[in-house]
Amino acid sequence: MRNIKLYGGYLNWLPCFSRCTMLSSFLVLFAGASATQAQTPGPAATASTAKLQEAFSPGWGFGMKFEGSSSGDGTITDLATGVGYNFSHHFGVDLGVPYYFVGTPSLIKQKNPSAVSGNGLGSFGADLKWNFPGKTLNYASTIHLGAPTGDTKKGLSTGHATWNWSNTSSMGGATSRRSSTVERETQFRTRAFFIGHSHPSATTPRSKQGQKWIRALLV
Amino acid sequence: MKCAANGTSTNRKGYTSASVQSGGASLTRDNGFNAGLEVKPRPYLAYLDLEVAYSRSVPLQLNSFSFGISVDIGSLLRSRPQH
Repeated sequence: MRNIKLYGGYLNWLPCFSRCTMLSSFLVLFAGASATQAQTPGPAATASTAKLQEAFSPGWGFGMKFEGSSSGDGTITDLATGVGYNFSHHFGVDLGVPYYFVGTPSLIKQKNPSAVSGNGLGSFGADLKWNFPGKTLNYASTIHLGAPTGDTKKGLSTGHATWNWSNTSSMGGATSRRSSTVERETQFRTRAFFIGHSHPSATTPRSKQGQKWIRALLV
Repeated sequence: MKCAANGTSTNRKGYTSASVQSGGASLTRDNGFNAGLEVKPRPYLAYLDLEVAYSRSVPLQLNSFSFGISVDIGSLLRSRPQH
């Protein structure tokens, strides 16, 4: 049996919602539909134009994200900053780092004096990302590398370098692709814990016209 | 804390009382649901991205509320009027 370790008190919440993001995706899909409609240039728009919009926008990107999660186990927020460069419509690189603000309930502190609390930098992260939008099938792949720069005493890092490879494929056009991306974001947000993973931080816009997703990749 | 005969933990809430917990894959298994909403104010604040979400973990009996505010600074700078 493969053993796993959960590190630290507060940031080490269990991986709660990895299978539970479908509803979120549908809601975002619904919310995004109106925005898509509003920016549709008209019936003259071609399929190739739509495909281009779904690809990366070559050049530099810079973004920030403030996010947080609160539950009975406490509150954790972070301010993530990311910079990236898209070398083409299909390949880009992102670098980012989060700064955590962790509040631990006194009850948990009593039971576990070494529980994670306090503020500090998290782990620097880098993403190598590929994106291949198609008319019927979209594919995206991301390799995440994490450096153990976070304070292990505060529980902001496991102390190990980490890597993660995620692959996403979806059917259909732009809307369903966005849904997939948001699903990852939601997973990140709600996974306010470490399981031997370090967290990248923020990233950069990924599409051409207004659909600028600043992803927060904590998983 | 619940521990198996081999010394590994099976307590899925053990993270509230221990800094390091070892166990099998079931230690991180979870079920529940998640609902979220994302808003992109357009056209004037297209560089903003606002999100809220709610998650419920059934085995942990845990409710979580999340939010996110994203600012695409590159887009913001590019959208400034040219003189």
